[in-house]
Amino acid sequence: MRGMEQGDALNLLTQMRRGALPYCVLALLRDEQRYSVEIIRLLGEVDGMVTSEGTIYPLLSRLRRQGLVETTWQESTTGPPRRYYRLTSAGRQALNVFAGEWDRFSDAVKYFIGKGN
Amino acid sequence: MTATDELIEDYLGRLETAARTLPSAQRAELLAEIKAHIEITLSQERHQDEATVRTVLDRLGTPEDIVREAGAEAEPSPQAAATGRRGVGAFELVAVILLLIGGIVLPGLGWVIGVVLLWASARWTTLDKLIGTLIFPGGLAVAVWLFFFWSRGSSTCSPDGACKSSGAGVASTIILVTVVGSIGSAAYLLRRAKPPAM
Repeated sequence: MRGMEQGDALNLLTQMRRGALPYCVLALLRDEQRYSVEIIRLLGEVDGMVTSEGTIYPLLSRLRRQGLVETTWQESTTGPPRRYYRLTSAGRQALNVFAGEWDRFSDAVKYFIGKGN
Repeated sequence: MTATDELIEDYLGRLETAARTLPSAQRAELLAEIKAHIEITLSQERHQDEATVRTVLDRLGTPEDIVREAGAEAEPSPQAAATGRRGVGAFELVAVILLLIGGIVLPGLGWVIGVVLLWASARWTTLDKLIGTLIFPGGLAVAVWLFFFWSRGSSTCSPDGACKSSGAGVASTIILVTVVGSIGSAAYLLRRAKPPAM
């Protein structure tokens, strides 16, 4: 098919990963507050989610500016103070909306791609 | 200063330089966060030797990558990206054309309008906008103006007909640099204005 090359597919997957990443961060905060290094470590446990750890900081900053997360500083016994992130009610709502749509979308793609035609 | 401190200082220095394109509050926050990240990550490692520090910095990614991400995140609205069409928008195309030759068509003013459009567009990051503005102010008009100025004014001819152009080499180099730079930066802006292929 013209215009559907391998590079396009990889590019699309990169964009999808990039688009889904903020919601993965919100999902990590669903049940508890976490500090940035912990968030980055948890994302890194899944292969391919994060290539440059430092790029998570601009993302966290945007989520905070959008009011989807809020932060508090807490002292640590082992190092410098840590900034803890937790979901706001707007963040929880955004996560729930995305999670619902994502389920429908991934089920639909699986339905067609899984058929092997 | 130990070798590991030096590695960290060097990294943060590069980050600070790269982050000059960001709004100052955002820049200060990013620098503080990355510095704290390095400290926290190292405090959780068993050894704080050079190899560990290198690994921590490698995993962070290059300062340029981080700042690029910050620039993209700073874009005003996610809607701007969502409504993005395929290809380069007419708005962006007009901006690039004005930046390139606006100064020739409408001396001075044309380029200024191009800059205003450039900064008004949500398609470009702050870094892109800075590149578009600074390479080169005036666009091709500068090269045209320099060409006339130089070809008319600065060559001196002796009575035997031999002309000696003073500073001809320098002038033609400057013209070449402004032409190549302006066209290069226009091409860069057009490429950056294209949304990723769907």
